[in-house]
Amino acid sequence: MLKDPIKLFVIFIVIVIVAFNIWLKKTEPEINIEGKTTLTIVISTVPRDQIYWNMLLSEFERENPDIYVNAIRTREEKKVQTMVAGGVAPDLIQIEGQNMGYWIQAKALLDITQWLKKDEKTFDIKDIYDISLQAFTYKGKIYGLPFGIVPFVLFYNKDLFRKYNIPFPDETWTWEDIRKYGKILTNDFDGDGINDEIGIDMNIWSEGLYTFIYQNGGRILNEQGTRIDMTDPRTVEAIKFVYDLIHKDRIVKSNFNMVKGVFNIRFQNGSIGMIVPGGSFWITEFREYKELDWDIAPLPAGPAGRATTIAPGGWGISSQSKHPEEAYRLLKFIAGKKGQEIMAKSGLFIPCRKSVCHSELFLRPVNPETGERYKHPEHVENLIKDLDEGYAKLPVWTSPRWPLVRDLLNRVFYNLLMDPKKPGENPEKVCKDFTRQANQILIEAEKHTSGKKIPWRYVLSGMVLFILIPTVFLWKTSRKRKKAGYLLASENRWGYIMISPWIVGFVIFFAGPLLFSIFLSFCQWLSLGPPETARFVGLDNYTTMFNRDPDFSKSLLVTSYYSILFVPLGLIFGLLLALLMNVEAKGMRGFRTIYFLPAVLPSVAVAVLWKDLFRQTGYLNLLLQRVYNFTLGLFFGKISISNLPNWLYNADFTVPAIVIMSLWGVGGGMMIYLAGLRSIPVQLYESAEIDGANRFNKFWHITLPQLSPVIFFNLVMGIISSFQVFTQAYMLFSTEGQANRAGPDDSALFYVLNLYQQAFEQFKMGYASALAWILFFIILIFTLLVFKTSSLWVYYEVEKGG
Amino acid sequence: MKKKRYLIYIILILGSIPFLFPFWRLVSGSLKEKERFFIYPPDPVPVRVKYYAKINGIWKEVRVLANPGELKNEPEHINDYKVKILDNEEVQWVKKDNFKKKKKLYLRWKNFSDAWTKAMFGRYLINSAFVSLMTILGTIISCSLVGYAFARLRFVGKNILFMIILATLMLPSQITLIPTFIIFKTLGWIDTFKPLFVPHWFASAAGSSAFFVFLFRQFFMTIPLDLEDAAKIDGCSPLMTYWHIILPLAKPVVITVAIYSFMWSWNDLINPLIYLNSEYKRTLTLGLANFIGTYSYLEPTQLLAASFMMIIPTIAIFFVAQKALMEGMKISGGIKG
Repeated sequence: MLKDPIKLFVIFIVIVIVAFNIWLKKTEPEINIEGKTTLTIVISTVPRDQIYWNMLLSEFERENPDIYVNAIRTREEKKVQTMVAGGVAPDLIQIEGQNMGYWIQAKALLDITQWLKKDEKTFDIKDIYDISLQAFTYKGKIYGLPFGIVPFVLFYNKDLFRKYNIPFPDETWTWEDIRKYGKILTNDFDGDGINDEIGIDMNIWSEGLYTFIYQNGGRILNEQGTRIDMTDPRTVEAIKFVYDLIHKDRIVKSNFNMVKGVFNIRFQNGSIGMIVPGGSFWITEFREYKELDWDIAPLPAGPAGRATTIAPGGWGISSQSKHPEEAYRLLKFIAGKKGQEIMAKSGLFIPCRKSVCHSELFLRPVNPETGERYKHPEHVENLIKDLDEGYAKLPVWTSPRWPLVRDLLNRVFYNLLMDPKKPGENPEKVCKDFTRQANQILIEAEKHTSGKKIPWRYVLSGMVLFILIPTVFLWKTSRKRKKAGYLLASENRWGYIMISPWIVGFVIFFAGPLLFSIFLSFCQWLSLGPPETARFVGLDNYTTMFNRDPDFSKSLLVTSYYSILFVPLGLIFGLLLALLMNVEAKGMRGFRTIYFLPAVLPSVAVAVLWKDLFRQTGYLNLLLQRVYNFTLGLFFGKISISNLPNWLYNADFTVPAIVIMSLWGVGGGMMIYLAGLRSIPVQLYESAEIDGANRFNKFWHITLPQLSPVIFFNLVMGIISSFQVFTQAYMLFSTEGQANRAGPDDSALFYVLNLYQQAFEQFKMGYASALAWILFFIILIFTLLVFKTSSLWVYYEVEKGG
Repeated sequence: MKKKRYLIYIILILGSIPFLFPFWRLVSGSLKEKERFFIYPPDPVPVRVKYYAKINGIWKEVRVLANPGELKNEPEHINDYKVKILDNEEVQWVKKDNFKKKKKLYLRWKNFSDAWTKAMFGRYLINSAFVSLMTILGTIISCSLVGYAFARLRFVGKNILFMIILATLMLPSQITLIPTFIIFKTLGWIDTFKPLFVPHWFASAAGSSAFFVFLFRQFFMTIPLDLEDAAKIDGCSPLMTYWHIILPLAKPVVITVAIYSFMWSWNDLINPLIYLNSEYKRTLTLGLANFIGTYSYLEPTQLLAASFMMIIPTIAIFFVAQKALMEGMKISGGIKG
């Protein structure tokens, strides 16, 4: 027994598991401490944030020894939403000016107006920049306090300016200056079609775009501030200016304006002249690049003068908080003088208190780790120049649904400005279309949802009955079926005992969820709220899917496109490779390793690797370029790497890119076909040769038919799994910022990715369940199709034999 | 005959290039400095480059502002380098003869230790290992039990139940995903590892357990009956037969199942994604997913190093258990109709 390898293996695993478990528990920081109230907040993981938080929290805990702050670090943008939805909201919620409405609608924030009024004497609220405080006020009530401001400024690379003898920018610069100097700063020295230097990079998300609109005196909302109105000619003019910089002058980094071939190369790498507009949050990052010599200036003035947007960040107390008073203390500390001084010291954001912003602490920042004054930026005062002189504006919002509008805005204008031109798109048309679409969203938000409330008790008991009745029936019949000698009672009992884990698991993890899922698909439930908010809506989900949901149809298109490309190619290449491998020769084992190895690698890591390979100047394009130039290029002319697609940022090439990545793993199929080939009896070939068959005949009449069951199996499995692609799509696209969650133009919106987003990002559990069922039916239909047609082309060995 | 052989070799060698080049990038990229990670043309191997200019007879390290041919608005210097001396930030023009570029091989092993500590991948790896091991253990124990019962024991409804197991393979796992999430949320198991491995202990993990049950069953059916008859005569219950006789014989299939189960769990993204919240609980897959966003441009080298670390165990398993893996492929491929 002791020598039994399996038992040893099991014991070994158990020991390792126990060891890991102990280590994990020990090294996990303790959250609940005796005698202290624990507050939970969620913060970002970016290193530059850590300095601020470490300083702030240790100082706060020093002054408030009865409180411990558990800071959860995450990079997921939706983490807090998920926590609020899960009923485990943190005590303080970070608010970003434009999503205030969302939290207010979810009733997630506490109104602190009265508390602040009481503290008028001790908490100097007038010292805070009024505009930043406004961002957290709604209908006269204050729901949060600011903790930092992100103004937009102009960043410039001093070395590049020196190279071309361009004067350093200041507050006298205008739009014409950025155009003029941007052109000088854009150069392609070796004429390969890729710029080696480019003049401008833009942070063009909504707040960034607004700066240009305001600089031209334009507007985003209508006069009353209730609806979008971007059809104002001054707004359109501003957008046209940006558009021309990118598409006509071609001096702005974008998908098709390469800089040294890499779309994602940043200002830090030294080939970009300016960032305008640039968010001030880049400062802490640029400082880390020792070779970069840069500075900042106020944004250039447009025809209507100077303007910038500031994006204030702040915090509010969660309505779910179990310790609102302690949370309030933390909030006051963050926005108070001491907290803001720490903000200045850390350099994370611009402080929101005038006194701090005008102090040496802020204007001559010092590296907290070395004690030395930071060399960059030299002109720190340019960060608050516009704020002090009254040129700063808040990003607008008008409804709790604003985040949807903002997402739409980012997506629509990103496509217009940064994506390769689509015919018919121009600034004026896009502004008109966007105004219409956005207002639709706003109008729909004002309607109510209808539907019957769900009597959960009855539903759940119904499901339990549904499972219990057949089980009882089965049990009863088993008692009857005691035919003598056929079934041993003990064997029967043992059978059930041994499969009991599966029975339990089946009910809890399969049958129950199955029934529940069917029922859910007929409901609408925004799982941000408790189950009581779910509503029964009958077939509504299904009709929406087929009539009104562009994401659904898009996901079907994308997934089918992938299937059509990948399944046949995988089949052909797998078979081809297997045929090549089937030769008895030296070194075949090595080749098998080379071709098979990629198939066993974890697809998450593979996606990370390929994300790098798919860059415009990544290894894939490099290889393609070299191979082409070496072969066809000799006849048709050589190509440069800019002629090759920017795979992941070009809507036409995203799915082909994933196909290529999937084909890298074709070795798996190859092994299956190889096994199939090896099992074909040699006699068949021999007798065919005697009959005078040549190589092609042998392949067509023997190999293929013999392999057809294997091919059939692979075809079915291939179709089924191609419809369930998730990991690759998520890893390659969904981890980007808001605008590209499923690839450019949603071109990588695979079915399961859409399902995931509906369920766990938009919290539409009912709708997502319906989507899951439709997936099942689609797979079923295809599988049946293949099965039905199989009798035509799959050859099964009928005679018994050798 | 020989010519055909050479042709095949040539095709295979050429064909292996597209399969190998990603590995080249994986290795060289994870050892590069982040400043030189994105340049074009890329360094084939990680190097460090320094520039030197001879100013007033002394060689000094400089930073290049402009290469020859780029200074279109300074024609008198059109063929010179424009450099900035690193010591004093002075700008100078130097002729080509007075300019030197030095390349040195520089493997930045620190990327790996940075990824391990600063980016917490060490912890993520242990989390992944813990979850995977728990999964393997649960799978082997529960699936072999169930598989044996279906292979050898006779009980009422056996055929129907087995059909149900096979049917569960047909159902896409996404259908049970949401209700299962709700169940775990009700149990309060969100942000623990339990939802990730507990279903495997009940042979009910969506999309994988049924397959393993099937594998075990097929294997057990090939064991000669005499062994079990002998055990029965000796008075063993089926469970004891299973424990003493069958399990020791099951080495090949246990290895295959262990490997596949490990791969499945090691690579699982969607389950950790929906169940795990805190950063300390993240698995490798979540860690990489978190990393790959905007952060991938800040620390691309750490990212590649981390993914390399995720790949290494699978490569190790591959080489050690190559035969078992291929057997597994054959078994799964051999299921006809």
